[in-house]
Amino acid sequence: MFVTSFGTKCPGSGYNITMDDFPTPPALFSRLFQWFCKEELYPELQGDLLEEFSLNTEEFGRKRARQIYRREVLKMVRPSIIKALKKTTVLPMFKINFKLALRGLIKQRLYTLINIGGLAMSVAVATLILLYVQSETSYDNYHPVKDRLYRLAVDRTYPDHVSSYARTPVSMGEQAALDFPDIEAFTKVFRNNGGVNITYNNETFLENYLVAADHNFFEIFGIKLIDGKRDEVFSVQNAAILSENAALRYFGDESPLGKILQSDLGDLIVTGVVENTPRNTHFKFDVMVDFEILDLAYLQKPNFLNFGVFNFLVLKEGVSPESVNAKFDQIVENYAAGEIERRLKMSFEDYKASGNGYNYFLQPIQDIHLNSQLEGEFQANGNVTYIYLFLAIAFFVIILAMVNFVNLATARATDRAKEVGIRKVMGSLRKQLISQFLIESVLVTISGTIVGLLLAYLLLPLFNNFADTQIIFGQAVGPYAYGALALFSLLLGLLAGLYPAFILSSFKHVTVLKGKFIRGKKGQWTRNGLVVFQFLISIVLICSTLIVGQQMNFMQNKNLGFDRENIIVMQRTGGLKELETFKTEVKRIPGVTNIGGSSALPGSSELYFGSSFELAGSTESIALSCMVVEDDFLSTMHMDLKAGRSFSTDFEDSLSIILNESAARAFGIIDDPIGKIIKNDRDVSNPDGPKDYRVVGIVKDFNYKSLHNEITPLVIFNNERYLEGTLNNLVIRANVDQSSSIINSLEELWVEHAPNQTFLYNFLDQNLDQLYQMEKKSGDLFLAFTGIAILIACIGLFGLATFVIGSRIKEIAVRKVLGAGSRRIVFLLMYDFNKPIILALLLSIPLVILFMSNWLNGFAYRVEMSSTWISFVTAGLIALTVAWITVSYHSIKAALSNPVKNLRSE
Amino acid sequence: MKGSHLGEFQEVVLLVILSLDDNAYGVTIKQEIAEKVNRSISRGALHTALTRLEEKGFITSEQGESHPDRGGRKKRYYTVTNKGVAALHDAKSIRDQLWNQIPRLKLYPGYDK
Repeated sequence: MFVTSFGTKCPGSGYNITMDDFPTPPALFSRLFQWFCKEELYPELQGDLLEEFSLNTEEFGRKRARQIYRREVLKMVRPSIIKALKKTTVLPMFKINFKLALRGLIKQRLYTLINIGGLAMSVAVATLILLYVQSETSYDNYHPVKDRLYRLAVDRTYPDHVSSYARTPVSMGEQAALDFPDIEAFTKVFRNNGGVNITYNNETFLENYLVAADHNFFEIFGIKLIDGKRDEVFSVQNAAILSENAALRYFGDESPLGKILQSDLGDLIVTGVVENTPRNTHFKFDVMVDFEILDLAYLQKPNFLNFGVFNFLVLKEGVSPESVNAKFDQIVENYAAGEIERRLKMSFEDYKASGNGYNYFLQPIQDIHLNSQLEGEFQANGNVTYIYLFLAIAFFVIILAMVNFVNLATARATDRAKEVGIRKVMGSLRKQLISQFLIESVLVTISGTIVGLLLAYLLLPLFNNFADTQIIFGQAVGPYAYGALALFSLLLGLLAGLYPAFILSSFKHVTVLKGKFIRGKKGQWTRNGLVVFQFLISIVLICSTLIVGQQMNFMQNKNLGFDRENIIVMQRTGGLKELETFKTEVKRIPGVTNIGGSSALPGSSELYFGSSFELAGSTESIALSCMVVEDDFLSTMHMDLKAGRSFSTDFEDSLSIILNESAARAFGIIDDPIGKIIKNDRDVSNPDGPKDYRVVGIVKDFNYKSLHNEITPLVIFNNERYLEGTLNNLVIRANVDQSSSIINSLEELWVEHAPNQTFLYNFLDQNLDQLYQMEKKSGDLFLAFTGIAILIACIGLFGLATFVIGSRIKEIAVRKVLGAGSRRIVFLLMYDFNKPIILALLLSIPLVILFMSNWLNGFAYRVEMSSTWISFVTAGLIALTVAWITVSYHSIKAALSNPVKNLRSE
Repeated sequence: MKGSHLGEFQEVVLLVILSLDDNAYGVTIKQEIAEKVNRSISRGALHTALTRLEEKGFITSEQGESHPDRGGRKKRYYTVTNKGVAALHDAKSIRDQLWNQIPRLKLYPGYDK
């Protein structure tokens, strides 16, 4: 029996052949074998293969025999059988070229250093950026049904604006899952905004990350249960599931399961411990409780209007989210319309006609982190624009290094012309010269890439710190990435080396050797063009960075409509039993000038509630944001009134309201607002039915959300007719110089009045700065990368100056001999370098305007493009100065050198 | 000059060539190895072994007749040289020596019972 080494089954072999058949082996493989097999071995081996083939055909059938033949041929590929690489010169020539390239590189140390250093820096930057992008785009990619998991969000259309909310009514997801067969599952999550106090063993912690979820949460989200049983974690109604961190915080080494925690929500029994929410998740929780434990009416009764919870839906396989989006109108018509009609006493048709509407839509879970900036998000999300910006920087930084290479290589043409001439005389073919130069450039790019990778590895901890990420090099860079990098450096080397290789190899040997070689005008144009290009990129980057800075500055200093400085905010004051006493005592603290309570604060948009209003005599109802404040709030915040008066102890203000200018405009009463009656429909704020309110004042528009949003109409109620507990924030105007003593006194008072509650305070200006953290972080990164880009461009310029001035050394000497002063020569040399930079500056202006106006459009309140001229001037000056400094070293050296030395050698 | 060490596979090939007497060429050697030694190898791998053996002077080869099944190409017959036979003897004696050094009990557990 003849057995081959391959245990493969032959599919459908039952093919019997007769002896008449002439079985032939696969022709392609025969030819292949003939092609690679050494000629002296071919007759014997091919003979053996054929004989075996005919034996195999008899024994196993034709199909199998052909299969064996193919494998046998492939297994013939081994050094002892295949022909040596063409007897021509490829391998030895590669060796010699490699040696020559290495020699050349070592001889020109500065040049090599500039090239490899520049490339290494750009590879390091690009690697870090790609790692960052990878970590930013990996959000929520670990859930079991991630491709079919969506979050429900809504575009709420009001008569004068549209707001988009990440939170949706509690019954929306449930009803959709009931009504639409396309939906496989749904779950909802509620996040408590204020935080909850949890006590164990007399130790109290404020849990800011407490969420309430449906029982199927862990089936839909890929967060792993570490302790406890998955089907029992919600077996009791007061179950609490802790994150590892939280479990450690309360219990240390003790086993948490079955322990009882005291909380604002009642006693909780720990039923499970989960891993800490992975970083790449758009939400986070430390404590999870059962959704049913929440005793808020709008969460436990059917509700289609209050945007209260996060609804997550899992679609069935193959269902497009668009088709589901379209169906939500049905739910609004069927369930929400009735509620609206009951509340507003107007038909849903009229309601829609007045410009109100709900457009529900699904967001893929993996898109939320980068593409969702709605109101009421779990946490501030990233922004995909920045991802594109960073990728652009990575790309440009690589291009800059490549340009450096091309520039330097062509600038060195003079130096290498003689070498090329000699080689040509000795019989070098052009092809060989090209390959030599290509090998040289590939050598440079490969070493640059390796050094760059090393650099990225070393800089990663610093970067993580800076960008607030937790990237681990070994995890993020796999074998696939290394392969891609190797390929990339090879391609980069070929690409960068192509132009110089062709230019250098094209020299005519006779001309060159006669010494008549003059740098062609054409080469100069290319080089100058490349310098312009480099500086264009650098200036665009500098300029953009400066404009980002201007906008950040603008936001930090913009008149928000109130005085953000010197305000201490105390939170969770709604729970204080004797608020008035507490306030009186706070006022006595030295340094405190004023104090006022409020239900919401500027910058925390989720604390404002919505309600519907109607101007007396009109049937049009509009929904506005609302807040409740105390008499002293407006004066403490230094908010200015445009008309009328503020709330005051001298008046009975329970039925008074203050509007902001936008609201007055929305009602059409901006000219004569005081005393107008506005009806507030039955709502959470008016459980006993509609009430008429009198407008007593108009406050100037102040930014009560972030500067990303326009100021929308706002109604301010007085706290007199509200229950205790509404005023959850106290703003205290105080002298910040004394802040530490003031805060100590506040804490003492707090402990006295609310012994079991956590004392929470912050400074309003710092709070507001948090809103722009994302911009600030990106701006910082942008600045760092821009610095590196400029550095790389300057390295190139430095190298270029070395060679350009080097080639003019005789000219300079002659000028000196003829009486030119050193200063004049330095000026002359520097002047030549100004032109490309000024040209780059001019070209950069339209580009920057294009990019940056686009970016600025993301802000409702932004610096005018026309006021950014200062950034252009600064960017231009920076570029010029840097270029001058770079070039001056060589210019001065050349101008001061002794002309005799330079003229002597010929 | 390459060392004259005889690899395990090379030893098998030498023995097979000897056993085939004057009919030892590529196809038969390969078949014999597959059948007797129960080892399936590719013709390419066999070629490598044969080249090594020839380099060491353990075998010689000469061209034989052609056959239509071989596309008219000639066979190459392999014969073991005296040096090759000596190398086989060496290998065997080294092995025998080692075998003899091993206590019987280790090789045949239960032998003394």
